[in-house]
Amino acid sequence: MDVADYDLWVDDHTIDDDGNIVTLAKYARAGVEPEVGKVFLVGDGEQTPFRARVLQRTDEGLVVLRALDDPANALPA
Amino acid sequence: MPPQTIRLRGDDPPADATLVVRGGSQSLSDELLERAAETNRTAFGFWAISVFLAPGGDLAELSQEVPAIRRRRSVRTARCGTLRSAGFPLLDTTRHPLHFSIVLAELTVSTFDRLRSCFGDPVANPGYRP
Repeated sequence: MDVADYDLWVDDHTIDDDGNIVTLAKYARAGVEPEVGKVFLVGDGEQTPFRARVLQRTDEGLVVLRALDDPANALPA
Repeated sequence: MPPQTIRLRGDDPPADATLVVRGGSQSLSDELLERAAETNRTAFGFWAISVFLAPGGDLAELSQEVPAIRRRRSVRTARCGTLRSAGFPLLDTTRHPLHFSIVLAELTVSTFDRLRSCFGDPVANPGYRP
């Protein structure tokens, strides 16, 4: 998979208190609507895109995602 | 009020020599710094970028623990003391014990240049695993 093949740009260093990735809906590719419950390929153009599910989207355009294949920055047990 | 809350863990401040790691070779570009900082402000109410600390300086070990680092072929590193001396506070944010936020007072090219100057050139990540 090409590193540019993502639907939604994320900086997966940026996480919330539960280890979920946060980004903004405006960083989605044209035609992509990051709705709650849907799964998208996310990336930054440098790493291999990975799948993440939208957990929350706010009126301010904040999108909270959970990585599916490799829970991003999962908290230690 | 921002939609998310972010907590400080209350850790002791990391030593000046502690390694600060940001994954990727392009993640300190003006465009990506601005995106990351805007995301942080929308989510948590302040401009910042996220980094992870490698207290022992071992990038392979950090990569095992942090997917955001493991997924990058290359990383850029700085020292906590260098960042603080350049006027960038480090906050121990989220429950992840290695996650820190570098606080930015403003989103300007000069601020981004000053931040980049704290980091070395990209180096190969020995813990890279796509």
